Amino acid sequence: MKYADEFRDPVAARGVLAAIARITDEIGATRKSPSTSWKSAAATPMRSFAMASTS
Amino acid sequence: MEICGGHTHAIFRYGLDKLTPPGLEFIHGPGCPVCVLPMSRIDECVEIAERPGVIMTTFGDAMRVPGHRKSLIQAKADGADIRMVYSPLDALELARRHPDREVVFFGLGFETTTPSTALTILQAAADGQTNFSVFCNHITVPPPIKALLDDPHMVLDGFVGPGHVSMVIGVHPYDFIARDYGKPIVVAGFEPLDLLQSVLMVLEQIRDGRAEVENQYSRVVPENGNPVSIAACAEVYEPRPSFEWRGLGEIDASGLRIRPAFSAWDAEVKFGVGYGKGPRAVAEPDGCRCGDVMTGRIKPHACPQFGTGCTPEMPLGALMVSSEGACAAYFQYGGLRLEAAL
Repeated sequence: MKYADEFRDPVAARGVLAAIARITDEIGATRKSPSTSWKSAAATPMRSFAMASTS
Repeated sequence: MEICGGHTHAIFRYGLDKLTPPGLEFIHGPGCPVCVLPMSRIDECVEIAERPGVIMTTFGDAMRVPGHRKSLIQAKADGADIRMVYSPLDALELARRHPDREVVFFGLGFETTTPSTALTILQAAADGQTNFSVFCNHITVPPPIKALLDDPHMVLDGFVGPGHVSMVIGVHPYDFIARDYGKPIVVAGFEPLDLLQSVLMVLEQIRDGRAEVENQYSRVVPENGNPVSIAACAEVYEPRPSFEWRGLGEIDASGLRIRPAFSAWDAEVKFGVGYGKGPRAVAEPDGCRCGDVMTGRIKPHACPQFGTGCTPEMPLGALMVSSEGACAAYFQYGGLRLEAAL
């Protein structure tokens, strides 16, 4: 399953992959410096997220 | 870092490392219990198994882990009565069928398997089945993460946490990662889309300057875990002062031992082996760099033995043995099986 089209929900997979690419670009991550813009943050309460459907 | 070996395999099996941008690097964590088991414990297990009258039982992936002298499967070939089981209850049933033998269950694993062993000990105690005991090697996830975070050479931006562990313990044992170290962690499921969504949630935290414990696997993981399992484990086990991890060394309060109230079912007590009974440090085989792989310092294929002196068929290091080991994942899914065969 090397291609997003082969996911059970290819639309969701493509959307998540696009968001990953966009945010990775936003934070300026490179292989040598994965998170150059990251700053330590104070903890905030746990949140719970619903899972996108995989079927 | 994906902590869990199951996640490592999912990442490679579904090619997630190829689908995500090059700026995103997966570091493979110490979440494979067979892989982090020190050779000295295998040696002690073999020592028990080779005693007359003993039936040693364990899960299949523990059979081939190399010890200093031999693996369990080699000990079996040499005549020891070692049997593979699918559950500790199978071992208890063997004890019922063979009252003249000592049946030992080689218990290992993280919080996912500790409850089944605990419940089996409670069942053995209720039944008065005293020819059954457990060689306890159960370990816990949070302490090694703390050890990794305390390592000044470790560069990690966030964690993907094992969903099946949190199904038992909940999400709050990870609070210290966000609170004390300022790192995001997302508890994740095992479908490829679960993993991708978890990675996205970690990235969103990094972008927003947040450090939180989030639960992507909320369809399975309750915030406070499974109270029945937690109570059974608390009744049967207590933390060891420290426990040896392959590649990581001794880590405080990272292992579990059986409480004195259940010492009749503790193989360490029954057979006089285990912690405090002998030297602990056993050297890794020459050229084996499992420890460096385990701590994320090198990738599996950077080990000089990878694919040549160490293959799934003839493993040298534990990471090539287990179905969850990082080296086995690289070998099986990384296109390296073919290269190694040439």
